[in-house]
Amino acid sequence: MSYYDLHIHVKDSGGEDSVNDIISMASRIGLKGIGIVLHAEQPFGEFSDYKKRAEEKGIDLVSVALVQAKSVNEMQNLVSKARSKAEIVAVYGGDYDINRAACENPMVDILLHPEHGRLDSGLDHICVRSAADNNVAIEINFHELLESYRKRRIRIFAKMKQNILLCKKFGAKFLVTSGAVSKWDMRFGRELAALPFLMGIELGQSIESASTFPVELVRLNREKLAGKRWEGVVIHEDLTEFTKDEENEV
Amino acid sequence: MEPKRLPPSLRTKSRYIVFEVISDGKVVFEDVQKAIWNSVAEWLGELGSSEARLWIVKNMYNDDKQIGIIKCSHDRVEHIRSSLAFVKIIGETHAIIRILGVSGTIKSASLKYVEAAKLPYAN
Repeated sequence: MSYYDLHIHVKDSGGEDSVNDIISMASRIGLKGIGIVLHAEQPFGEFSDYKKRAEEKGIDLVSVALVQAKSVNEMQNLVSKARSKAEIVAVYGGDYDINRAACENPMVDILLHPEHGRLDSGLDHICVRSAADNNVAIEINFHELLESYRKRRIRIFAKMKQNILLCKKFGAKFLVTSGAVSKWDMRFGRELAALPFLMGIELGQSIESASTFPVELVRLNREKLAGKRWEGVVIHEDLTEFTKDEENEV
Repeated sequence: MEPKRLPPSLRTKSRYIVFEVISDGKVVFEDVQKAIWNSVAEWLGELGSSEARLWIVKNMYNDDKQIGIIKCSHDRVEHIRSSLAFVKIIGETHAIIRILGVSGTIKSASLKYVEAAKLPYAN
């Protein structure tokens, strides 16, 4: 099974290690794909070089635009700009207004740590229902747990659990990421998939949140970026080849 | 006199988790054991750890491959898996614990995962 981790920081986005180090560690721990997070304002030009290096090691590199905004308007502007250049658009959560606006925006793919820096879980039933309607996935960020201890870790886990149980009730998607800022924060997807299981999700669905779901999300977004998929329309390459052959025969 | 061994139907079912330590430098068994116990006790608490019936098998730890076996209760495998993810430092080096597989007997765990594993960073 292919495991993807769609939230890893590198030096350019506040992380500690270079892309090469991250790719080497991903290959070492057995990940099939990694999402390198860059700020939405940053240029994504160097990504093709990184992709070639990753492909040599058998890793699928995914570009993730991190939208970190102070207001809802700023967030929506950044999301619409980032949508055309990155494969995944992720919004930095924490503020309730931004969490809700992200859940209501179909251009957003992932809402990162909605409980970050809050006393409550950051999401309510309205947000989660919107997230389910607009295909916005809610993130379980392992780094938040890894870097906290005792009372703080307990509270963060409880908030995450509340969000995940709301996702389960309303059918919203969720995914587990390492949120790594260095190569030593990275974890294999199967280990991360144990977290939703401990939060009350079935084991199969927990494993999907680190494997099938991110793989499918990346595939759909790549098709959209390549112009092969719009809302309600999909172009099948095999079908066009078939019709071309048929035309030649005629 | 010692108590008699329980019949198989009354014994608690176990699973054997094979893990690999990925680290900067070499780590010894004592440090690995300490890091795992601390992590499990911190994440699961004393009650949860006792329910997991954790046992780190000393004579199955391979120093060269940095691979070892943990015995635990069959219904606490995911709890132990998540606890192992919280290990950040072993001894004085950065480390990650990666699970290679889970097995029902120590023999098959050893054959399938420990003996089949390559040396670290060997191509």
